[in-house]
Amino acid sequence: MTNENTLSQLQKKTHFKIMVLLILFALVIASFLISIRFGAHRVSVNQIFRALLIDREGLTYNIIWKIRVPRSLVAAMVGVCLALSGGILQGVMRNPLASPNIIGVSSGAGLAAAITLVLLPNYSFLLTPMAFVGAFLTTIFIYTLSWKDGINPLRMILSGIAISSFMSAIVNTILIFHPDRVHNTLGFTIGSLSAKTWVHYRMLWPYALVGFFLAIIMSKKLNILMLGDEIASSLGLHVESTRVVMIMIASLLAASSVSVVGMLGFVGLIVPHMMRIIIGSDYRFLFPASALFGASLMMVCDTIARMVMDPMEIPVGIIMALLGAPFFLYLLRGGKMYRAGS
Amino acid sequence: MLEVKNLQLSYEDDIVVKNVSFSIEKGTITTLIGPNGCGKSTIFKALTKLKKPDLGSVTLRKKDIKEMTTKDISKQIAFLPQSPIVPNDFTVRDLVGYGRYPHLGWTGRLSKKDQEISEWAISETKLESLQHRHVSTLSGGERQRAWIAMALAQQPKILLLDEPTTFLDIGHQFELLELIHRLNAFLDITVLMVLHDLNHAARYSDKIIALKNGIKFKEGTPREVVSKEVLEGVFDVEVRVFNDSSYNCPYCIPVNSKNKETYPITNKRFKCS
Repeated sequence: MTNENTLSQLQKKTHFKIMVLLILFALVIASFLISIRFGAHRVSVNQIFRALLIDREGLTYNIIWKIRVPRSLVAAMVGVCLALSGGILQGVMRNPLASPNIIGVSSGAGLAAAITLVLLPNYSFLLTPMAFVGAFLTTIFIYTLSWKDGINPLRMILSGIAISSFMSAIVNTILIFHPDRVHNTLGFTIGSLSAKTWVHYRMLWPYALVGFFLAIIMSKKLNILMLGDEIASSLGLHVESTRVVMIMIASLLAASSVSVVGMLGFVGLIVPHMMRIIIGSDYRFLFPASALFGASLMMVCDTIARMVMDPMEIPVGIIMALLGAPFFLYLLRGGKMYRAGS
Repeated sequence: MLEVKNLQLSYEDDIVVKNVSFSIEKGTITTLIGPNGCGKSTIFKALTKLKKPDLGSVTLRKKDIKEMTTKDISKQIAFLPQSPIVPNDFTVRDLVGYGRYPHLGWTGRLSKKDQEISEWAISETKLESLQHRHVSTLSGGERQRAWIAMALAQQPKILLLDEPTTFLDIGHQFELLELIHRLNAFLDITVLMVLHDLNHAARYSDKIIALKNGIKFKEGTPREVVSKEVLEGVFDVEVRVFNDSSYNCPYCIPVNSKNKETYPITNKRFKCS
């Protein structure tokens, strides 16, 4: 094979991946427009542009600008954070089952939420910071527990599962003694975007932005880490420190979104896998793809959550699982990524 | 070139390597032999700084590796572990490109020179026609060559190979050993490897180091190590040693286990009722 031939083959592959990213970007824009178009109050695309750009007052403007736009943006940010977090963890742990749940982010946030909402209802305005702290501390706790002469990813995953079960037992105990307040926590446990506004968006976007850039910067290192600790270290990567840094980034990303919208860790599991099937496991492409697709998936699912039982609203976590799981299974069967014996 | 002094390595409380010292001369092929679990692979981990020694030191070109970063070491030592893993959709070309990682700047982009070196590594290992194939679809021998190509792209002074021939048939075993021999002879890469086949070790090494239970049992030329006394001491087998006149190297045939602890086979049988 000649030199030019080789290069053109390489270029073709890269072009395909860039095309996929562009399509995903278009999908994000489309999902955003769809999510602010549909809802209890119907507005046309024309009205959307008018309200956003020209006629900045009135009912339509208020609905769009004060309710739907921030909510969609929160959905998008959550999608970005969770998808990146899941992608990072699957790489660092070299385990396809890794997701924000297994490093204790969800259970930690859940316990903090149960304590805040049920035991200290007067302080329920502290829900988000409490959940954030709970999530992050739980990760550190699990990390310390599984540290023994370095981190063994499998040990960390198993510790994570054990701690998560332990914490949900505490949550359930709390709920059993306060059956009247169970309803308060339901939205959080399932994951919901209702009543999310600009405040929440402002809490999230810095994490999403910084997380995105860090993920891109670290992508080459993750690729190397996929070749195993020994090879990675022989290629000059400091395996242990890379792993700590990546787990902390993943934890912060997930904690930020879980503390705002509740336990939606499932997004973090499926989105990176879906993108891996489509764009491959090179993290330089997988990260942007996951971030984009996570954002659109969240916005679309939230739109459906608002629409499907109108005027009642279903928590987005339910839609995510009901639609996401079958779609994920479909891709899993069709893709070449997870063939038998490989 | 590479000097190991009084090395002691352990996993938690188990000491697996005790007071091992040896040195590797530039441009030579050295082979570690010894029974399973005698600490060969663990020594490799210490040489790439993946494992901290309890005692002793590793010196690379007169510099203690404790004072070198993982990256500094990676510019000089390439290591191929026993069963390396690779994601399903990495091509040979991708893999070889990662071999350039120690030499890349902070952007991690492959420059034109890096591409050229990758191509050179691919042609040295005769993988041109396979370079766009996924590594996971290659046969055992091809895959091993792909890993060696990656190591070559690293442009190392020293190549560490942990049982490179283990899962290959004899044809591919020799093909690989010839390749290693060529890299040593023509590119002046110093090789330190673990082999289980004593005849391969005898044929291709300048020096053999025999380990047993984490201790250095014997170090010397193939003729000194592949001898009745040493092999029977290291492996607990009875061997016959001959000389191959065409390559002027010793070869051996194991004939019997010296392990007197026989298995208590009874006449009891479990019947399927």
